[in-house]
Amino acid sequence: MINKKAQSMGLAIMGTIIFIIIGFMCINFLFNEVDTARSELSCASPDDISDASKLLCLIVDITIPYWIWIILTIGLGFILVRLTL
Amino acid sequence: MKRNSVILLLGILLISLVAAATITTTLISPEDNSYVLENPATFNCSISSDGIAKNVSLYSNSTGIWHLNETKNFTSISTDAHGYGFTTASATAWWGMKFKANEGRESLVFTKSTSATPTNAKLYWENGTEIETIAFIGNNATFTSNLVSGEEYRIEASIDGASSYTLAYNDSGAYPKNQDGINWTGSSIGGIDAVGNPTRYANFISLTSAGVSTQSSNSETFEVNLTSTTEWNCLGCDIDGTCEFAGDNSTVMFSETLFTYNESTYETASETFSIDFSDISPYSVYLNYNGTEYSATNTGSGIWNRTIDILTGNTTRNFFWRYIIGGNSYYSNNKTQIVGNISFTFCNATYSDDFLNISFKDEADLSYINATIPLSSFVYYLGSGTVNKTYSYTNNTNNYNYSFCATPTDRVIKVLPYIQYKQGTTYPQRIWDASVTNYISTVTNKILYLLGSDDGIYVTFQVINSADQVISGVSASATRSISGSDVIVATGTTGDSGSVTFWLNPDYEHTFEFTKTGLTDYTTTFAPTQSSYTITMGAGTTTQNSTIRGIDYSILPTETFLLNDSIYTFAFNLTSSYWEIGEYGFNLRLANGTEIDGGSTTNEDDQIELNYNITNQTIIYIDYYWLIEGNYTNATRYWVVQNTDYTGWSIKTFFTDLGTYLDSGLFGLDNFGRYLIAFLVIFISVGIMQYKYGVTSQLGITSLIFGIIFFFDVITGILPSIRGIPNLPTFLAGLILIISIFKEVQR
Repeated sequence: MINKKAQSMGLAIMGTIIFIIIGFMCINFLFNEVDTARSELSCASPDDISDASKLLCLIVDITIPYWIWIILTIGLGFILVRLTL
Repeated sequence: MKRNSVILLLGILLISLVAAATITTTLISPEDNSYVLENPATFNCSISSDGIAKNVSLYSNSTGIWHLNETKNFTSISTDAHGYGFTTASATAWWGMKFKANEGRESLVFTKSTSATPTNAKLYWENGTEIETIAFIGNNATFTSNLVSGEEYRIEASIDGASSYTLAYNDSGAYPKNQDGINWTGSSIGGIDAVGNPTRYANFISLTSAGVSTQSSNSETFEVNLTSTTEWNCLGCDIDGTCEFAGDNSTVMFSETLFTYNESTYETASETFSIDFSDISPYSVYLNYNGTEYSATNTGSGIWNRTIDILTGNTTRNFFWRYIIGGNSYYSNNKTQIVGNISFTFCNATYSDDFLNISFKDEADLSYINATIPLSSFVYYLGSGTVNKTYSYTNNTNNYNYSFCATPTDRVIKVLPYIQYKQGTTYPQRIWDASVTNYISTVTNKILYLLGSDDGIYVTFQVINSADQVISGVSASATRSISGSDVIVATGTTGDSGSVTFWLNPDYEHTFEFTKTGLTDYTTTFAPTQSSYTITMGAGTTTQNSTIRGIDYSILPTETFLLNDSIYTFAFNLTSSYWEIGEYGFNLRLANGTEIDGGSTTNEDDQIELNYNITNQTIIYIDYYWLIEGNYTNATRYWVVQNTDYTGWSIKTFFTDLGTYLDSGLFGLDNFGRYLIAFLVIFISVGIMQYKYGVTSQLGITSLIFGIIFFFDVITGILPSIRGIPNLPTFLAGLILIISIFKEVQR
């Protein structure tokens, strides 16, 4: 008898791995954008920028960690959903 | 119509682009932000053009206004001149040449061969109109007329008084013809070859022109006396008049520096080279002498010096300094030192100033005797002895004395002598093996004593240790009193058998001394009446102390890991409260085994520093050492180099920026604001955990609070220190957590 739940879990793990790999590959596109944004906002010169720009810099700083967190969350979500079914 | 206009405009644009010459000018050296220590400084400017380079100029901003310093024109030999010289069978002679004027020509020199004898040269237009007549000065006639580029001219030269004769040329100017345009055929000029060309080219003549360049690229050097740090640039021009400055100005920092050294010295002498930086502070300085680099020592006040023993060789040695500032190497100008010869030899006609005179006496009756020297060697030097020369001398004829002379005569020469001497079988051989002795041009008389074959006996000393094992390499000497003075009458070293044999007088007491490193010296006095004695030497009772006793050292950088593409100051400093340190230093070693000399010093508490850019290395080793009584103590530590290529986007950047922005007053937040943020985070987190997940235990909430405070205080460093005490909130939270744990356990 075929264990459909086990099959489903295997597919979820594979899908998660593929999703995470693709997600991490996409980070490469963000690197340059983050650098450009930080450069344009002069994030390295806090004395020369406004508080609003500083806030934007902090948001830009956390872009990639946030992206990674999203990827891992969604990826793990695939597996956890299968576990709860 | 509109389309045609566009095409026309594009065409004009294209033509103008093609027509405009492109020039690239470069200030090759000195490099931007480089240092010049002494005048004159040499500047090197280059130009590369798609046309013909004409000149290059050096500009300076030393007065605050850019101005021309010097212009140099490029010169070359004209390549499109043709001509031949002829001489007739008679004394009358004439020469001629045809050429085409180049662009940018500034002068024209017509040169004859030395054997030719014309007195004047004339310059003509191609059509025969005379332009200028110039008298030869030496072999040259220098015309002053301005020539028109592209036009053809003729030059003729003849002896005054000779009948005027006009040479004509064919189109290529390769072969002269007579007035009628016919190739020379007359026998008067020496005949013709198979194709009718003249064969008698008696005097070849040449044409040179200054200020003419036929090259598209060229470079020139300028010698400039600097007075201060200023900016420099080069302007290159081509013959079309197009000029271009180098893309970037170069700032050349001038720091007048004093170099101290002897311009002449002698082989093996210890010479100190000193460099006194007036207002720059290099991290490390090296002396490159004859291709070998030696690290210099900072003696303070910007003075660095290095003492080396001069290599042997009667020649001129080159040297220069390399100094490191900001991780970059800079170099002083090349300097030279004349190295003279030193000699220590048996006196002769060439070397007549005697330093050492050896004579011989009979030990029994103190009469002077003659002797031979079957073998001798003299190691001699002027400096520390690390570089030395050796002289060997043998003389199997009995002589009453032997004089050894030396040069230079104004120096103290250190000599390590070894002499075997005897007089046939009448006086058996003895050895004089003294320690290093200084000799000067005032002669030192040395009397060596021999003992007759009827007056002495061979005495063999065998040296053993307490385990009855023979000891080789023991220095032995026999001393006796002669005329009230203690005289060493025999010296030697034990061989593999552990024995050494002396020819001694058994009638007198001798003092025998046996020494060897690591063993306790053994001294005894007796009259050697037996043919053999056994000497037992024991190991010394010295206590071997640890070579790290009293040693205190520090190494920089103190970080546990390094970041790539960064310049770090690697340093090693050492002090000792117990040992006397001979030297200490360090080298850096890369993962591939490459070693970088970090330097060394003999002065305690003299920190050795090396500024080094670790680029993309993965690991850096530092091999440091110190020298105590000839023994090296070595050790190594290393730093792992972290690649920062992928760390610029981590969450650490967020917290670093957050801390920086808070420091700069983000939204007016001060330290109180930081505490407030931390409090709000704690408050909200605890509230959520309590409301959502029902976390109500004291231990759980305390742990959560500790974790949040630890994160803000230690990990991110956002929380400021309280009254200068670092991480006080974390300690307080940790204390409360521990109390909670104890309380929970007690319950």
